[in-house]
Amino acid sequence: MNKRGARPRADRAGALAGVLLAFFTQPARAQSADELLARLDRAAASFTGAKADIRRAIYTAAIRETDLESGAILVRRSSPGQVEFRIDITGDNAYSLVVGAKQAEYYHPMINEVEVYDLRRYRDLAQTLMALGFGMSGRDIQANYAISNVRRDTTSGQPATAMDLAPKSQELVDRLHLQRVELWISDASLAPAQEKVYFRDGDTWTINYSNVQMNIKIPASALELPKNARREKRN
Amino acid sequence: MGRRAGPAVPRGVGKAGSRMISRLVLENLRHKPVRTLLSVLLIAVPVTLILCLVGLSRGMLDESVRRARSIGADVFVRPPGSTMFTLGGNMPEAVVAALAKMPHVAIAMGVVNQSVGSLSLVATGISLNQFNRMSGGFTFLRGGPFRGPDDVIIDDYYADQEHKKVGDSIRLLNSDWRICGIIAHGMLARIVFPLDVLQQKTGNRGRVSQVYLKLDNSANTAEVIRYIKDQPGWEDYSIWSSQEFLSLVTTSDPGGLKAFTAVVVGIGVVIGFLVAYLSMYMAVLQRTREIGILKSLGASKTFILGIILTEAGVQGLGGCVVGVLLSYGSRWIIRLLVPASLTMQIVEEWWPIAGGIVLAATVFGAMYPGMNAARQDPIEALSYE
Repeated sequence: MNKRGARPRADRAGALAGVLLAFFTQPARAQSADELLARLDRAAASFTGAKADIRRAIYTAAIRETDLESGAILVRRSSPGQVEFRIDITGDNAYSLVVGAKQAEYYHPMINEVEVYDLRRYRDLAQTLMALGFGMSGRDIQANYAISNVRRDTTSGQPATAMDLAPKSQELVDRLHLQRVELWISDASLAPAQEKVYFRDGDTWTINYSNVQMNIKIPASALELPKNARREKRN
Repeated sequence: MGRRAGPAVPRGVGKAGSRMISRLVLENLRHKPVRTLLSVLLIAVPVTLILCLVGLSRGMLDESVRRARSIGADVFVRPPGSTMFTLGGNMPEAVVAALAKMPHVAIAMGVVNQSVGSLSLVATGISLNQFNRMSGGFTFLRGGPFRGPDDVIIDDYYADQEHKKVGDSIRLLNSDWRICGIIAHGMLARIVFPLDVLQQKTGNRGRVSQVYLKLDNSANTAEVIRYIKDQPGWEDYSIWSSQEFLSLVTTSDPGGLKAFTAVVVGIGVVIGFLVAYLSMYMAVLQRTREIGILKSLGASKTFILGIILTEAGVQGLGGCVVGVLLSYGSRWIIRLLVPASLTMQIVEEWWPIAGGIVLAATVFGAMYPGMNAARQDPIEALSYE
């Protein structure tokens, strides 16, 4: 359940990218890095969609306090090489985030309002983040992150391969103050099991995925927000 | 031998020539009042556009500065990576308590901001007690503070725009609210909610958008900012002194306004040029015979060119004056219709800039028709039908 806000940090565009990042940092391998990336290449080719429960722990270093939020995520392959997704956070600070190829929509259910962000300026950023776990090939991960410290580990009792990812995009570093990402990929499903995002000021996000269902069919309508909501462009 | 008669029209643009040019131009303008009026109005359009745009950007920024100043804070704190125009709740509310414990901090007040309808119209959630302690409180024109969770305070501009009075119901953020008080504009925000209400309504429970700090002594501002930035975890927070913040606001370029102003100035130049070109081209065509007569009476090319350029210049000057007057009209309309959403100022220092740009374009636009007129052969001109 959602405790204390679940909204993105930093300015809206940066925050949005931050939310994307939080939910899209992905795993790499359980064997050698090369083996894992090769497996991810193969898995990405047949990826259709995914569904999972998510839980994010947001640690604020300045006050040494952690907030929690949880909900569900849907990922859908919209076209070859592209995915779109929807995150629904439940609880007091409920919100939904839908990210497509060109825009991101942030829905406030209490005021029935959708903030619309044009993602075209942040296309590379969004694609890098979006593709990171679900349906992203090993080649793309290598293209966007410097991979290091690949190791065997377990997360939530599952055998997984963990790795450190350093973003190659200066925008991620400058805009989000992002330092690095630790990523755990389930050996069994090749789905992301956990990721930990480290920011320059000591803040971290720890994101856990559970009940992951890979390669399911997600209809486009599942990613639609209420049509009667007031929509407002933000950039 | 009789003396050879001198030219009936001065050859150059001397004192007598200038006087004659003035008379001719005046007569020409009076002779074609509709064309003159239309030219003046068209030239006035870009002047008004430029002045309105500059006035709107200045007015909106000044309004932001006035509101920020009214809070009475010495230091503004926003989450890492945020800008002056960031909205929404982006940091844990516990940050407020942590900041309140910092040395020299007398009051720390967290607020939540939420846009209402457009980015220029923002609602702010506050703790009224803390706001009163920090700023001295709102100036209520009618009504008073919150009495219930469904109460909202609005400023007089927003009340005028929405035709609302105290006790009326108003729909905001997908809910109906009771207007409990109307405050003088220029204080904090146009729309004010209790902090916890706006947090809950916008899904920001336990979070704030920014924190205002009032210090025991404003002279300690730089020291306090340095101290906060030195604490672990605070390095990337955006922390400004009130002076820095206000200076950033006034030098900022929200929404690329400077680029937009440049585009409008460009449009002004093009319109001024085209209007003068067309107007003078038509004038030269209409006055071909007249020009032939002037030339046969001894008028030089410079004299003819002088008439055309002076006429364009007079129209340009008229356009500038009318443009300035229309900018007052625009401000009046804005104040009448959308006083809360748009704030426009009359920026006198831009009068000569806008006027100069458009006037130069106008005279330049009259150059080609003027040269054509000056080059005309008097015999051909006299036979022109």
